[in-house]
Amino acid sequence: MNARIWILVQKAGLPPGHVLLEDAGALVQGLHDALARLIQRQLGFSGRTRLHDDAKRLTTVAITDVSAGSGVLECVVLPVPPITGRSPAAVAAFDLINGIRSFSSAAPWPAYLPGIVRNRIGAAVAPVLTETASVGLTVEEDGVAASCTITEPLRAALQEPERFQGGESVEIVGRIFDINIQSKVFKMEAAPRKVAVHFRDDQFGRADELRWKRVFVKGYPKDEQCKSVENVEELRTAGPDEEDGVSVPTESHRGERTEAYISASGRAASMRGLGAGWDTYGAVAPPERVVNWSLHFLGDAAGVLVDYGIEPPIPFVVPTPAGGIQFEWSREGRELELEVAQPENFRFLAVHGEQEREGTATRWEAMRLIRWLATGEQV
Amino acid sequence: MTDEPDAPFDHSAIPNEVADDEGLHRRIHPTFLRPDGSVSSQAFRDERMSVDRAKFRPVRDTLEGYDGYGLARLLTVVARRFQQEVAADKQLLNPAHALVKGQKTKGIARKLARKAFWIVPLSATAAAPN
Repeated sequence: MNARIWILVQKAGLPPGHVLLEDAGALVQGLHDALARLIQRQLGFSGRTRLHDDAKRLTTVAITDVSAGSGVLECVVLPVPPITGRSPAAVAAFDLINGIRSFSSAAPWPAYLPGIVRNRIGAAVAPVLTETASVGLTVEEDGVAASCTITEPLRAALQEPERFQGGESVEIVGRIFDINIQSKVFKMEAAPRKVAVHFRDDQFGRADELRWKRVFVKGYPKDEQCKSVENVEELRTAGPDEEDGVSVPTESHRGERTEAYISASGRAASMRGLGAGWDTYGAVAPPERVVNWSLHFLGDAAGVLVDYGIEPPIPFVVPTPAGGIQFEWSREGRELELEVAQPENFRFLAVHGEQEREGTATRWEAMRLIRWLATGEQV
Repeated sequence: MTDEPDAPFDHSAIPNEVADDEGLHRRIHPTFLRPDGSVSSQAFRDERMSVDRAKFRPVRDTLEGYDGYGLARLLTVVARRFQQEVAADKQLLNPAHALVKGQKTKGIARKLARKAFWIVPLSATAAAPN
């Protein structure tokens, strides 16, 4: 059964069963963006970079009706082949609604609901809300439902801009589109935001050399919203793998501080010295890029679990004779083998008692499998 | 183990058929040793998996020149139970060589690994071979 989402618009002055096009447009777009950003985050990517195609592709929600009664937009979450487990949009909708609900009962914003997601949903309901209006969100899947109601004060909290700490460094990747030699400032298009970078006298030559190029900057926010950055520590051409956007290293590398990552990283180090035929039967040595990518993925997965307050399980790491990396976990009777043959190419074996499942997995499914291993939660 | 030859073997006497009760020896790299002392399924993934027939080749010969490796034994009948073909593959320098042929899904490789047992165990602190 596909999950369903209802957006309930309580607005005075409209006949029952009607939703203004402008309200519907804002709500639908905002909900889509918020879910897609949340999915991007759950895929282990930064929420502040440009929306990945993968996250967009996994956000499959369609409007099916406007109910009579109050103005209710009815939506259905469509399946996303080849994903066989829960739909990413359904998972994200539950997280979004539960996160908003927990905040409205005086809890702090949960770490899995980052500022960019909150801001998107806040902006979506903003045109609809007045002192007396409200927007309700409900998601239902297999008989389990979650709901929240957004009123004007909650909308304001949702739209509260993300605050950056002055003492904490940020990394910015984007194209320089303007440079002012006299004030020693260049501006970067670091999607989805623009940032002004104040450079020092001794960095002038470097900045001049990099004008109009895609660059990487490490510096410190000058203001809470990180509209400008100072004390630049690193300034260089951005690599092709570095995505446009602003990231906070302590946040994007949060998974790398976990015991799971540190342990796996130590094991992986010992594999770097393996030569061809290392198992005496013609095994291929895992290439550096496969080892690095696998560890990076593990760090991302650990970071996602940390967001949810889940301790990432420590894997046993083993090279595969075909030149890949396999992570093996065992927890509370659940066993998982996750093999990375090449970047983004996963095979898995999940065992629980007599039940055994194996096959290929997408990045989303690989993330969900690790979560299943850690918590027993349905994939 | 008792079925290991204790004297040089007459190679021509090695049967071409691998009997169900024959042990099959496979060298195990230390990196395959799991923290619980068992072997990773990755040690048993090759579609044409090389093994030595325990009855016809001493352990010391199988491990000769492979310091730091362990040795695990799998019974032929177990491999066959998991849709594997076990066939003699005599080689000039190793007439006891055999192949365990067949697709080894992750599930089958895991079962083979769980059914294998140590003949020359690796300790968790085993040093990597040079």
